[in-house]
Amino acid sequence: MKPMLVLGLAVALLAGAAPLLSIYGQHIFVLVALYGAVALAWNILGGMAGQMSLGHALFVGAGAYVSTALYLNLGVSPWIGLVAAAAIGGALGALMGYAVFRRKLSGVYFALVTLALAEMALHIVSNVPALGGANGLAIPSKPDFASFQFASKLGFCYAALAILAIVSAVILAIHRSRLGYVFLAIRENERSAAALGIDVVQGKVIAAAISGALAALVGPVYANYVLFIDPESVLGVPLSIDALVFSFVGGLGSLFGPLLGAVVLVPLTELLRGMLAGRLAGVHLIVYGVILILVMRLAPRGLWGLLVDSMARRQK
Amino acid sequence: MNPPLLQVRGVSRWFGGLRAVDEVSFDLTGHEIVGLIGPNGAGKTTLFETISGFIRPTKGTVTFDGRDITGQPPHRLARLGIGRTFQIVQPFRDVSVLENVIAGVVGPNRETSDARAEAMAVLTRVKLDHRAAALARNLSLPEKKRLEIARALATRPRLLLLDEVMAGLTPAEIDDIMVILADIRNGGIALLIVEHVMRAIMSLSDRLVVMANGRKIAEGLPAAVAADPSVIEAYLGRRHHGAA
Repeated sequence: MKPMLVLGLAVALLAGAAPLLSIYGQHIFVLVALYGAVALAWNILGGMAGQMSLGHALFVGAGAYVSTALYLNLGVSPWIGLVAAAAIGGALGALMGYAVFRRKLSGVYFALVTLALAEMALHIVSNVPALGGANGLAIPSKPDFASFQFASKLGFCYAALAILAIVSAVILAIHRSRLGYVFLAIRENERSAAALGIDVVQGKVIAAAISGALAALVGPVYANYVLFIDPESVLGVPLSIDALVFSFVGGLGSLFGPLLGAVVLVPLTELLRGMLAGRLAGVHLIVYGVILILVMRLAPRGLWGLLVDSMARRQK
Repeated sequence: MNPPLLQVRGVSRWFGGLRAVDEVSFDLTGHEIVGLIGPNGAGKTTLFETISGFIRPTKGTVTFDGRDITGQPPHRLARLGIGRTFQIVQPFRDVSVLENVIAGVVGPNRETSDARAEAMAVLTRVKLDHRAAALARNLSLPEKKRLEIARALATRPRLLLLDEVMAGLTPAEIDDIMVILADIRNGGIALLIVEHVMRAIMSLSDRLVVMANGRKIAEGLPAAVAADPSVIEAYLGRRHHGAA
């Protein structure tokens, strides 16, 4: 259980460090943890099993809307909303995966289907008045534990960290089990995988379901942190691209590289936003582009690969 | 007498008007090495793909251990005990040799107490244990061929289909593979081998099945097949597949 122990220590360390941060630092902490969790969830399907999604916002958005709609309309606690979010995200992932993969479509086809489905969801939600339409849904501020609203930012630090820890623990568990080898074999060579007794379609559907369920967990936390969701912010293409860019920059093949990508890129984006004070909207996308090109040129295995290589060199 | 492990009955595979495999039938018993030979384009690989589930036969049936497996997907056949290698090696390139073989151990989804130890044992069997930590893409061709065998062996097959595991190897490397294959058979695994290296297939095989133009043209003991006039005409007579 050594990797799990390391994970536990890392989580304890971060939990201990969070109170020492400024309010702004805690805000960045929450964002990094949430984006990091989405990127890690994306990487289960995109990196570990090798099936690139361009629509992971679908899962985050579904999670956010399910939990918020349950809370606003039926008074269901977002804690239960989290479970509902994971269930919906997992079901959407499995359905999407089954629809595409059983037809032996992969690669670009899968990426385009995910993009199309996320866009469809965005436009559907934008036109459903019960879900607030394009205006979105506001959650009334009511700081209490049952409403998943915390009086201080520190509470959200712990909530976001908990989600990140759950996603990380699932990744470690997959990596150590048969499923880890199933994903690896599918990513590396589907014909060989099948010849070794691996049900390739089933493996991909499972990857999509797990990835979707974990990404959806982020939705309710985000919604209750910001107290507002609209289709663009939780179902839009930028969020899907974020998950992909963080994973590429951090290191696609690695287990935790995508988190590293979020750790570097989220504060950078926030910093730029602060420096430019609202001018040049979307400039962070240009910065992403430049960073992506640089990483692909200089560190094809991402920041994680760079880190591993430099540690190996130091040991020699 | 036990029924044969593998029964191929009237198997055909047509691609449009081309009869790549045409009404082929043969048996293979549990401890046998059967060589499948024939000139290029004879339909050997297509037949192979049909038996291993990667291509559906147009007609005919394949029976394994008394059960009809015609048209079953490859992963199910692997779980039933049919392992295979690929003519063009298909390792999991960016992971270690050991992880390649562990994937073979856990692939068929059966209980294993220690997949890593089991994978190491398989690697030792094909004399690749010293390369366990290497990335698969960094192996030499003979090593990749042995990895291909190791991975298939790790699924604990009862029948192993080997598609040209000796192609491109030097005579010394072929000798190594022959020792490994004989050892595998002695361990109770039946082998169906497609091979162009005549020296190896003649000495390894208990029986030969000869194909030409999609049809089975001869079957029998290697010496008898080699003397068969139709085989000599279709295959050996032209000599363009002589011993490597």
